[in-house]
Amino acid sequence: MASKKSSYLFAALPLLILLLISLTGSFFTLHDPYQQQLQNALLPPGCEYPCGTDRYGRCIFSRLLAGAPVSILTALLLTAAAALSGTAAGLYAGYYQGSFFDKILQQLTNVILAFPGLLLALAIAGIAGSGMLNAAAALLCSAWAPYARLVRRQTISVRQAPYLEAAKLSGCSDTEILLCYLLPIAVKPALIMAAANMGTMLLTLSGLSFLGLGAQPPSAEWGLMISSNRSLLQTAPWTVFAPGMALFIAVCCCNFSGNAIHDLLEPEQNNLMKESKYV
Amino acid sequence: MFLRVSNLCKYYQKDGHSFAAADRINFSLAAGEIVGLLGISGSGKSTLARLLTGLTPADSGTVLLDERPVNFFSQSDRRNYYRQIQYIFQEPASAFHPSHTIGSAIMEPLLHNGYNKAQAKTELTHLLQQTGLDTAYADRFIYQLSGGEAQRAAIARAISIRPRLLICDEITSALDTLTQRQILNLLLHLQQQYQTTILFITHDIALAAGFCHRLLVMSQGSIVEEGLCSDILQNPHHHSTRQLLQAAHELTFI
Repeated sequence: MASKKSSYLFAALPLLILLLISLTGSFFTLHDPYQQQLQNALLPPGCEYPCGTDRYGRCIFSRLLAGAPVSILTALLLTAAAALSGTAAGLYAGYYQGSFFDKILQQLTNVILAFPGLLLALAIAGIAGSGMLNAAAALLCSAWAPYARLVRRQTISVRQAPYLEAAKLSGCSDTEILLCYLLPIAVKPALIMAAANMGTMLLTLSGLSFLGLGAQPPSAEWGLMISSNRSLLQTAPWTVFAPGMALFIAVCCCNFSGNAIHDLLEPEQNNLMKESKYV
Repeated sequence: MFLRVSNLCKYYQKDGHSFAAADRINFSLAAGEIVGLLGISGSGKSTLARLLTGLTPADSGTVLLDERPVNFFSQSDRRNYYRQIQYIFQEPASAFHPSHTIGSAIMEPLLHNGYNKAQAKTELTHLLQQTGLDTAYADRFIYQLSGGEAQRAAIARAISIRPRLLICDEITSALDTLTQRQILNLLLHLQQQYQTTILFITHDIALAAGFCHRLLVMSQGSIVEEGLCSDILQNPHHHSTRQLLQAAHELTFI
């Protein structure tokens, strides 16, 4: 039991570190991340400015720390929101298979999943207008659908299991069956999917900001930082590399945790994969 | 007659054709009797049991409990009905949640029927003892039990709220003869103790003859023969009954 707990902790460690940085990072800034000091513009990395300064003389290291909650926390919350809403919708539709809600959900997920996620988010954010909230809402519009489909399928596969019928005969209401019997079964695949999707969500959100549809200046969102400094790539490469590297490390952390959580929660499949001669 | 079934029908589609899994079923059950529902595999016995419990909705027809039609529309309707009617599944292992303990599964009907946790725990101990299981089984999971033990646990759950009708769907078909006998004795004992009506579904006419007061024989979704055990065994009218009897004779090698 102790080793299982430590395995979970090990899997979640990179994610916890990211979360810690995004929650407390703004307390460790060396300079005011939004204070313009034009006399210090485009200083290369050094002792005073560990990641250098941008064209307005703002400390890039401080801006990375200040932008962490915007980039990381939003992506994590967005993944959680997508997983929660998709799971709830999939659970309900799967349990009441063939109902009006199920039919509508199926058509909706078919439409949403027919478009690449980023393209749909671009279209929605383009219509709704730029801004971090709109970008997050646009991403949420497409991100919940795979969860809904996965959980619906999972629910359908067990909804007629004799132990659920026995629970009905025992007097359980539909809500109790949904929450006490089906939700625990659906949580695992949804969690595995969410763990695998965190990195992608972080990249997509930063991608929207890079394209000007997400966070707006003077926000220290990492995608926006890369975008606003990309013209300086040849003259002051640290202005692009620093947020790029921060994004890279954050996505790597998410993916590492995602893979570790996947392996922990689905050991049987993992063992089968290892034994398979085709892998 | 506390339960009466009137013109119960259920149709399924297969290869574009409609076939009747239950075709205008009519019968009644009196309080305290043991009725055997016989038929070969696919004759519609389990479908009829599921129609009676509402787990499968009927296309037409009525189930009357104390001459009042039963409906399954609301949660309270279903809960009231399941206080009086319980169903024991053919495969007890699949009727228990794999990650719930036997104790919590047996206590579930009690907790939904007015018992508090302390009362339910006391009753659980009593039920386990009554069905011949050690009280330590309360903390076990279904996969830790043998077939006979799982069936006893299923019986304990079904009788926990003292239903008036117990539908036993081929509950002994996967058990060895010794365990079969023990389970039947247990049912008989419970039936005598609580005056529970038992609808005993089986394809084994010899088993039904030794256990039931009355028999219903099903074939192709219809009840084709009905009567006292002795009458049906001595003078079977329908060819399905004759086939079942002949098969039972041919299989008696000892």
